Amino acid sequence: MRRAGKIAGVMLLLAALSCATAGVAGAQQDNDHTLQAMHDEMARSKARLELQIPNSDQPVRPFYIEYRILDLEVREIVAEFGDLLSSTHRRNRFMNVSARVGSYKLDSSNFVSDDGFQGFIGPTGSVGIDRDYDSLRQDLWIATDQAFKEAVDTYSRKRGYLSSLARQSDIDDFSKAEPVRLIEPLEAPDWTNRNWEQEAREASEVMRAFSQIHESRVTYYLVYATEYLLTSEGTEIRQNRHFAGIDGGMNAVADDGVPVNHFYATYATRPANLPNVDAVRKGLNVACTELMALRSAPPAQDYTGPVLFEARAAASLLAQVLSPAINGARPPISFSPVLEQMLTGLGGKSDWVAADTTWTRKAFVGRKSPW
Amino acid sequence: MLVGLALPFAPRAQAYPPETQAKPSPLLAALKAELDRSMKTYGTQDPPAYYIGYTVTDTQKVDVQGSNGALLNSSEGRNRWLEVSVRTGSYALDNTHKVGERQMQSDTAVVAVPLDDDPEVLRRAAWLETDKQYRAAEEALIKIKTGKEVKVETAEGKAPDFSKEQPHVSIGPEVSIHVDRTPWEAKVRAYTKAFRESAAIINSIVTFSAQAQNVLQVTSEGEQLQYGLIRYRLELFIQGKAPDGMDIERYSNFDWVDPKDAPDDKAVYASEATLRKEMEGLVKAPLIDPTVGPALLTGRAAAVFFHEVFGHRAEGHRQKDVSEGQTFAKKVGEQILPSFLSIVDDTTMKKLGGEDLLGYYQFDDEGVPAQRVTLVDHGVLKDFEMSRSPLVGFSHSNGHGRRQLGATPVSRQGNLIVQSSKTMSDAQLREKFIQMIKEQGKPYGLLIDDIAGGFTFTGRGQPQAFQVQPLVVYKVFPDGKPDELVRGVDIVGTPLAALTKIVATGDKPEVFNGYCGAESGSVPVAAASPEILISELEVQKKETSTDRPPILPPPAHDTVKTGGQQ
Repeated sequence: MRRAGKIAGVMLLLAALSCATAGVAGAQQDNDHTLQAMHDEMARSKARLELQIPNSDQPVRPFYIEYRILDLEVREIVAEFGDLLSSTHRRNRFMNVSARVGSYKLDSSNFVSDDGFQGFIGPTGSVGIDRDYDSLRQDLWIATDQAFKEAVDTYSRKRGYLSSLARQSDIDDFSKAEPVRLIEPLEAPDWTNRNWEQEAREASEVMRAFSQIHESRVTYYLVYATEYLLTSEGTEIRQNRHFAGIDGGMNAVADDGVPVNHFYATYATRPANLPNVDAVRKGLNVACTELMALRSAPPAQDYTGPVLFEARAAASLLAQVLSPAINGARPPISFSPVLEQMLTGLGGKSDWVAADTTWTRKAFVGRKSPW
Repeated sequence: MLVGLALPFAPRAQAYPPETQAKPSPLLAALKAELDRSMKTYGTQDPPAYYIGYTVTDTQKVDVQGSNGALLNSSEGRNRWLEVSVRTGSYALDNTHKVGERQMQSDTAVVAVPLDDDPEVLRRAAWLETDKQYRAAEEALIKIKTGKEVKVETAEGKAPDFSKEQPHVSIGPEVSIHVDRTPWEAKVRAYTKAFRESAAIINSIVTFSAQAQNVLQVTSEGEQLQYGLIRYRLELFIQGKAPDGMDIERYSNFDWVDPKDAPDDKAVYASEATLRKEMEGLVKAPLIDPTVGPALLTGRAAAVFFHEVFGHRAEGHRQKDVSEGQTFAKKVGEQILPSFLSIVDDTTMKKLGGEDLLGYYQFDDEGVPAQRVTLVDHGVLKDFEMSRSPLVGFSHSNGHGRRQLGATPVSRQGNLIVQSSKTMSDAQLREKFIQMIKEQGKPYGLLIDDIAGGFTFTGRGQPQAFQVQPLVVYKVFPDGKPDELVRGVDIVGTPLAALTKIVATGDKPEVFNGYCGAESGSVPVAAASPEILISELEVQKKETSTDRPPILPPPAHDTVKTGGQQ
């Protein structure tokens, strides 16, 4: 039985490796060695990363390792009153390595204590943007080492803390997931032929007509990203993302000294899909006109009664109110009761989750969602 | 004009060589126009603004950074910031006055302004910030006047809050840099790749940076300045870990102003080889225990030693502040160093022995021209580094008011140069060092070859002590045994005792260029000194990590074939 299990395990591993190799081969055709470096360092870590714990027969090994790389290329152009304030173009790659020790039932995750392991470089940070093999392996090597030691240290503290509790959770710490493989062709950023700096200047120039506006900024965000994910369960992803937005903020002071502000924002899935400068100027002009009206409006009185939220306000309201309540994240267990209370109050990691959770949806009522 | 009437000095024109005669930026006139308008308004308020200053700093920056053989980032950017300074009250007592141990928050307002030369939008920004700053200064002055009634006035506090200085009109050429980043990208890849050859080096980072900074400054005193400064820098940084968990770092840098002075590959690889050799030695080097005994500091190490131990205590504002230790406040005219040592802070010096000095500038951040200041003459304390915050007996700035963008200037070091009239050759100095070890009956003395930096406590609440962090330390034995590389200690001491224990110096000054952090932020500085022999220096155990070194070897040095392409 043990032998059969071992053979089955080997076969599964071979199958996983062949799929993985196919993915890596696809990635290497475009000279991207990221996944290859991730694969090789993960294989080494899975096979040989271990710590011998005193008074224990078995060394501790990670049962799960996860490598994430975010390759981010961002242009940000800021203008005010028709002039360019700044224009930056940056490309960075961020690495995040996590390791879990223990088991799916009880592992090293979701535990906060005051004096955990402090690595000297850490499991996160910037890595080289060349998509090369050797430098990324060097970075993953040290990050995996730090993540593993952090996990061993946290697991020991967590077990010690849980042993003092009368009743422990019967929910597993981590769920097994079917491996996913998705290797998209590497996408080169397309900045199009539009002159973004000139567009930002021209758009922001609208505010010059409103002499009561004290400060204003129009910012163009143009973002291309490639996400990489490799897990020891076999998930392997290289996926492209793109996003663009224009954000215009403006403020003024009412005659009674109350500061008033307003904004205009528009988003697109790609820089090329952003509205042209005339449309942006129109949108900004509306916002400025509304701000001027707001500036001249009488102060609102205290009120209790029915309220009608327009669609754009209702969406924002629901997001603020519903998000924490429907977030499935478990609050972390904490060694410090005060800290635990604070974290529980925050509802854990409260990343926004859409009400219908349709992340695959690309448009809503005729308008494209940003992702 | 109100500003002109209030001025005791007529603006002095600063002459530039004919080939560098420059046109004033159109923004200078815009700033001046808005300044005049502001003074007309705020100069007649109650309390009146008696001083308004506008500074525009335009910075063009190129950064290329690599790590472990790959490019980390490569970027070029430009920004332009406006700083507005408003003082209410009078030169004698204004809104920056420190009452007892309390000082009003007085950080200068700093706002981003357009890169396009648009006088109208710049004036709008200046107008808004002046109003904000005036209101803050008005409120602060009321609190100060009230606070003075309940606090005892110290002798140091009787000095005015702001010195009257000769305003200058100086229009210099605008500077810019044109850097092709591609060759630098290839260089930082290659330089960091070379570090990967050593298994002792866990991480390496190489950074090339270039910066062109143009400053426009106008004040209600009549100052009108336009000047620029260019700087280039290459930094090499590596990290390693000893088996006992101690983190080991080595660092070196090249600074230059003229592109033709950039270090060539040969110089960079030579520096890399030294760093690598030191790292490989240090991770294996034995620890030493705390000890007191003779020590020889190389020029660069001595330069940092003087910067920390003496330089910070010679900064003028520390003699005025009641919460400061005021080590040297009452020692002007007294012997504080051996008579063979003199110290100047000369921010007019561009180079020393062919090396660019980072502490050079034309005007300080309060618009006062750079000056050479003799701080110590043959061991006797003569002067302090002064900003426009005067002391009793030192009523004027000597051009050392400095700050990082957005902070309020205080007196800071620039180019601290240690000079000696009792020099010896390297061989003679070593001979004297060994003789001293024997005379004191010590098993060894310490040769401090490089110092990372350090810190010093100058406040009264702490001991008046300094701590400097040596990076490369050797035991030198009196019996002729080879020097032994050791690790794990910091130099500690108190300034008055430490400075008098210097017994001899070498004959070749060495330069340390770096960035110094203090109340007014990070500013570029240089320090230069010959080797110094100290009869008694104390070292203590340094803070260390106990984290184990990485479990697996670096991928490039792993002989086991698991999962990799080795």
